Amino acid sequence: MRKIIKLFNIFIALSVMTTGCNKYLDTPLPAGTISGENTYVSDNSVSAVVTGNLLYLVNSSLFGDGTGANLPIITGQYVDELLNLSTGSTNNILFYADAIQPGNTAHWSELYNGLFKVNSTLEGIRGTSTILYYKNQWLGESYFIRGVLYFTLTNLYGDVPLALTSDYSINNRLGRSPQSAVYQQIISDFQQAQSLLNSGYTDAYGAATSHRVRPNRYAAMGMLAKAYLYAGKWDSAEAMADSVINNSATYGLASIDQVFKTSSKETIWSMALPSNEEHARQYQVYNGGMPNPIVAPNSPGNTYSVYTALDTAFVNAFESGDNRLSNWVRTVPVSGSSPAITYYFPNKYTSPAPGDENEIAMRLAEVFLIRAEARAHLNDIAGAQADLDMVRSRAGLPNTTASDMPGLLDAILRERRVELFTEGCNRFFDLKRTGTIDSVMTAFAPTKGVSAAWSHYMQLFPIPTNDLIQDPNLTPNPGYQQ
Amino acid sequence: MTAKLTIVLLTAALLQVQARGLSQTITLTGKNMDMREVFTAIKQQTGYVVFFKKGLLTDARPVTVAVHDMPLTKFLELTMKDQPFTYLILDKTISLSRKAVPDVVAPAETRTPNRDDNLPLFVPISGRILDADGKPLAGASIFIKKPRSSSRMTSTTSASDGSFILQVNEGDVLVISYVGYTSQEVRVSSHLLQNGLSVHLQQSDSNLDQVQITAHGTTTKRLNPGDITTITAKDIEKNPVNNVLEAIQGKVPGLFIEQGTGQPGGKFTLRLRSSINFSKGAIAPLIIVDGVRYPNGTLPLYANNQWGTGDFLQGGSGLNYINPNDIASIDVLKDADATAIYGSSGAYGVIIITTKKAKPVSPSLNANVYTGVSVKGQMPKLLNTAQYIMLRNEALKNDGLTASASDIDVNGTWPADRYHDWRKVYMGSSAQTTNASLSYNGGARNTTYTIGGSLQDNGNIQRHKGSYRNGSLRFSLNTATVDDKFNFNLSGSWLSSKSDMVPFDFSGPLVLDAPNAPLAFLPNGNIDWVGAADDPNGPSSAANINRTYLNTTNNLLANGTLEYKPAKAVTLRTIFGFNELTGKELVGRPTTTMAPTNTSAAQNTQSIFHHYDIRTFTVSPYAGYERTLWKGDLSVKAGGEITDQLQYWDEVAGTGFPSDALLSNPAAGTTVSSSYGQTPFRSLGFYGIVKYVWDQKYIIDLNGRRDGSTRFGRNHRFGNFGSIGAAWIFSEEKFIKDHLSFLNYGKLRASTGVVGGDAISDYAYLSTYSAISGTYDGKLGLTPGSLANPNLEWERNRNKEVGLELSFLKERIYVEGNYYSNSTSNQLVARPISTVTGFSGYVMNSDAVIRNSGWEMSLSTTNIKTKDFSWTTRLNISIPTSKLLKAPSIANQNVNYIVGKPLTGILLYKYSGVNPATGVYSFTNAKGVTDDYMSGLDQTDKTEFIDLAPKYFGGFTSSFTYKQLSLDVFFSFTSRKANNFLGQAFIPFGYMDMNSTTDWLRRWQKVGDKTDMPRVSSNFFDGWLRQQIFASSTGAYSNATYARLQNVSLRYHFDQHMLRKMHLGDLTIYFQGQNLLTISKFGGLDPENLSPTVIPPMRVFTGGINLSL
Repeated sequence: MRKIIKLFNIFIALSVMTTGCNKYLDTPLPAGTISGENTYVSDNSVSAVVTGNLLYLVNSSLFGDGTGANLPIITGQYVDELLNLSTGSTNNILFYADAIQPGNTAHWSELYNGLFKVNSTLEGIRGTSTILYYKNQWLGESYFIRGVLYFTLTNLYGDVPLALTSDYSINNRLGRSPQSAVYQQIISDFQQAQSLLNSGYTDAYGAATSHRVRPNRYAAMGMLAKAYLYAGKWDSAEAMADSVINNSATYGLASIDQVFKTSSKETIWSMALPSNEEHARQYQVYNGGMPNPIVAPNSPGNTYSVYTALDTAFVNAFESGDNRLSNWVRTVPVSGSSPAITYYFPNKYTSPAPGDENEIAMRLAEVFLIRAEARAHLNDIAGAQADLDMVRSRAGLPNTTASDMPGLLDAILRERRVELFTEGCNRFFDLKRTGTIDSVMTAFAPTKGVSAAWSHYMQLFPIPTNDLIQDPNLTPNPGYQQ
Repeated sequence: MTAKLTIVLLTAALLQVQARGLSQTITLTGKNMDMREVFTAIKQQTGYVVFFKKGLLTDARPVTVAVHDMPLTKFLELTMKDQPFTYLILDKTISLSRKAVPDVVAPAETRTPNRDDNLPLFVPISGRILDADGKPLAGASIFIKKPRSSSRMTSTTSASDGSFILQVNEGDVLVISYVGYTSQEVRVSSHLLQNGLSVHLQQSDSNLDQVQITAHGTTTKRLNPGDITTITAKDIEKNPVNNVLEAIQGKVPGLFIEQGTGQPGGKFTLRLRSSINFSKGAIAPLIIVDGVRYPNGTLPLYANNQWGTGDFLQGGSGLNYINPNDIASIDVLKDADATAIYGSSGAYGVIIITTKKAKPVSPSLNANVYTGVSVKGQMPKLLNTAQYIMLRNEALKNDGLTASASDIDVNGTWPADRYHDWRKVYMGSSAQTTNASLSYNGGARNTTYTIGGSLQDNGNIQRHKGSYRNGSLRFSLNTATVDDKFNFNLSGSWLSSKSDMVPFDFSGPLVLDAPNAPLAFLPNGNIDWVGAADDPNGPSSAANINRTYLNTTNNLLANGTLEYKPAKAVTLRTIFGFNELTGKELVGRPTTTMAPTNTSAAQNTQSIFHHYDIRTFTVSPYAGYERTLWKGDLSVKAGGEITDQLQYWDEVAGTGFPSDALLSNPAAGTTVSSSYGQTPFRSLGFYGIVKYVWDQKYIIDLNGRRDGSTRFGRNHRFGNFGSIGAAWIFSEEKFIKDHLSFLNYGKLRASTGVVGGDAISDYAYLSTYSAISGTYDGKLGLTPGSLANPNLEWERNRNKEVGLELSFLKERIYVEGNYYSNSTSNQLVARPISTVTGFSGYVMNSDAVIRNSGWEMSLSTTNIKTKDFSWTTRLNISIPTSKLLKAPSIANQNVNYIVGKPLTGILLYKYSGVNPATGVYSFTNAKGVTDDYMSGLDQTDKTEFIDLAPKYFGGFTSSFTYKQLSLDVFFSFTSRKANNFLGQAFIPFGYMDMNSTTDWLRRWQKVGDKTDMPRVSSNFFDGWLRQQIFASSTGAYSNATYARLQNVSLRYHFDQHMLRKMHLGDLTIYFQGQNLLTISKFGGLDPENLSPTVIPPMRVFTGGINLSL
């Protein structure tokens, strides 16, 4: 019995030790991990969080990812810009065939994941008691990124839920906000960025730099002009574009072979290459090591990591004498094919050397075209012509012959097509916002030869089924099998 | 008299205390000393106390000695040489007993003491407990049956040399028992009192006396109130396998084991008693190897996730790195009583693996060698060229097309008479497998040891003849002090394995290439980039063969057990367990994997060095107390368990190498990146166990545990768990013994308890940021992790079980039946949420309630038992079911979860067969309208529910012995529904360059055809859309019930006569086969791994020899 008591005492002692044990269980966090509360404590760590969000844009399959799933490629294939050469990727096959299902569009989740990151960052910066010397820059960059994400989101999916916090319990019940409200938010975010950001380019430490990879005030204004244009606010779009164009000390049109170089004065905002990538994604996707001529007719995708090429119809859209065709498009015949096959690859990015080229997301030529379009809508025919001709003359083309509003709008749309191809999702978005997508695609889709007929509903991508199940306030985009 | 003796004992006890630190030698000089004087000297000088019966010294002879520093034993020998009594040393006591009478020459009447004098109330009896071979058995229990007095010790245990001493009365019955041996009863006679007792216990062949490893102890099946299944080395060694899980598949009721891939080193999935959790994969039971927590899931391999090699090993299995030969036993703990003591982690069951330890047997050398071949397992039959071309042309015709320029498989570009069996080309046919092991067992009285080593070589059957090899060394050492109070066991094993198999599973899409596609290999084995260039799947896929891979995995297991018994009833023990599993992989992508015309080939060469390490350290202190209380045995145990695990990985990846030869060093690449990750995990628990066995009839067992884990926030770290188990061995009751004599054994047991679970990822309670790869304009980035939930707490599983065990007709029939019902609440789940939140799941404690219940039965019978021939059979079957009792109130976990239905099912469209009018799939929607839907169906049209969990599974063994020959035949069986080949197809047959199974010969051809295969078509998108719906319909699932001849083992065991002639200890020659035959209607697809793109489990044939000296 004595021993039982003894053992009992030991057990009690062990239990008392529990308090000490709590200490034993205070393990260090996994290597490379810091707790949320220790993140917003200095400019250095906050800058790293904001940088992480910029990196997310280029690392995720939104704008990065050289494998053919990124938005510029799949939206290009979805419409009349790109051909699909990959037989291995169901995703590309389906986008090309305009036959996507809710399971094929992961971009929705990726965009919202990015929004969660940005919302967390904004809350962290606002909530910290630490004095941040470059607080305006971190906030401004964050609003800018949120604007970019929502801009992409609403143009792909239409009316979308507005998640403005990181709180899952709120976001999990959101219904859709009308696109006009989403544009209001986008405009407000870019306006915030405009007022918070420096006019010059700064790096991750707040110092001035020549690298145009972190957004500055003009990048915010350029995006604002684009958002106004998409929202149909022609006055504001014109005014905003004006302010960018007038800063001729910083921005100017580059010569046609220098447009995409890092030294180009035309760049307003470009996305840096993640350190582990050597060349711009577009170089990797459309060029990377491809011999000329290429060999196997059925398998260029497999052997050279080539997934896609320009559609022949697109190539035919160039006016004769357009220097962009010779400079920005590479013609590659297929050896030994009978009848002869020729592929056309975008050739905007041509350098395999690290640091030569960053993928440009906003450049002055687009701002000219934005102003031209805004002016056309405002019936400023001469102004619109002048802006359009700025872009045409750089390409070695004569001045436009369009002289009335509909003619100019049509000319601008055609110009945008050949100027901005494979940059962002411009072609897809332009067709949609100008209301021309149904007529263009109804005619074009059958020529893809993959037995799909275009329907009006296809201009909006489907929403993941899981989200519709989990969030009862969310409604599907019509037409898709859920 | 009693009082006197008590005083003697007390004095002795006191002296014993004082005597500490005294020597064990005697210095004594004296003439004609009385023996009492001698004994006093012994007491004073050594602390040893001499016990004797009253009157024993009446005829003692006086002694004359002159010794200096003489060892005690020698001194006793000397002084007792001519005495009429003999002695026995036990602990610190020397007991005297009378020598056999015939030795005495003197007249009996004067020498024999008066009978009354010679019969005190009780007298010491001494003896030794030995096994059949005469080896001492330490720790055997000796107790008096129905003692006449309860005021004294009525039981004891034997010392390390098997000796014991116990106070008895003449006429008492001693019961001598030892775990794993048949008990014996001995009546105490005067002869025995005088001569001592030597008992040879026979090893029990009753399953009831099989040793079972429980949480922190051992027991027998007979006395266990919990549910434990034990598989011993004897069963394991019959299987020529390299993962022990393959050997126990189908043998443990309730434990479902699935082999993921046939690649040596591949994954195994474990699931105990149905899907206890909402999480998509089954949560594997906790695995404890020699006292240390062992990785129970897949390993953090690099080969898991790169370049489509995810299917290759599927993550492997930690148990691939323990040689099945080194395992002594596997105990699977199932019910609350058995698992509650693992508190936090016991919710999903516990598997305790014990490696072979040193045994107190005579020195022996054992060698076991087998070799054989492994060949491809079950695979569906594919179309040959003629069939393929015929169907492809039909497909084009059905679409109103003719072969175009791009249809090179049928337009004549590829010859119609060329045929390649791509499986043969890429997957090969057979590979050699060899296993050799050697061990030596030795030692002396207090120290025994075993050392051993083994080598394994498993070839890969695929075209690239890589192999998986390992070698291991192990040792185990047991030693004890002379007084047996302190003993320790030290054991360790080290295994090093090497795999240079190509990290690619060629059974995937590659073998579905058109059978007349060109061969992508030149006669010298190189890739034919030119000749096969027109095959889109050809050279670039075949070039995977040139990938390089070297996986070196080392596994160190070490265990130290220190045990101290300060008093007979008290045991203090600490187990130190250590395991370090570390793997290094070097993965290379040389230029030869790319076309020679690829100008970026050199730039795209890649080499990755990936290293992971899982280090676990477990310390388990323990204190136990055992005593007899009234008519039963009480044991009280308390202890703790501290686990510290650190998992880390690092990686160096390089691209762009100047030469393929430099791929051996990833740091030599043009671009080099490195990464590092590390995750610590700690847990802590204290437990107490009280067990009482009353009269070998009634057993009650109480367990309690308090646990802490780093997986929870500061305020929720600790949880309390516990269980109660009780058993009634009713066959011990008099009325059963009197009236149901055919019943040898009957036990009814029940247990209930609360077990915990912490099966979530680490740090889910904390919001964290971590560095992401790459920099942006020279700055590193941080990114938030998952959604944090600071309120996470322990999951609670309430487990109940009732079991009945019966044994009839001298144990020729043994039946066991269990019913369990486990309900899980407060379950830790990743609740699915809308990705608008940024994530698809949020880890939380769900308020849903799930019940897992089921029946498990086993039956063993000895059908025939004659002198030369015996036939025994064993059958076990498990019938698990699960049910969602209460749906989560916050959000629907999953569209497939329906209250009242199992969690393992899915909702599907109703497939209505191939429409005889159109030849395509038809479905019936929720309104009952049947049509050839290509779209327009939604979730509400999924009206059918199919449960994919096994309905029942189990195994059946038949063992035959004829003289020296024995044959074991083992079948495992499983009944379930699974995704069939057609359901897993990407598109129906007909698309260019994609072969399929011969099932397509039954396709629909013309209006009115009634068949299960649709019309063939080359239209990709129609086909794809239809297939999308089909894959979510009942048509994609069929019955995958199968029976598999899992193992056949034929052994010839040489008889003693022959062995003596050959001067051998033991010799067995055997032939074994694994996975020999599968009987199923699952369309040729392996019904176990169920995947058309993963190599199925291998068929293995071996022959071997087992030899002992």
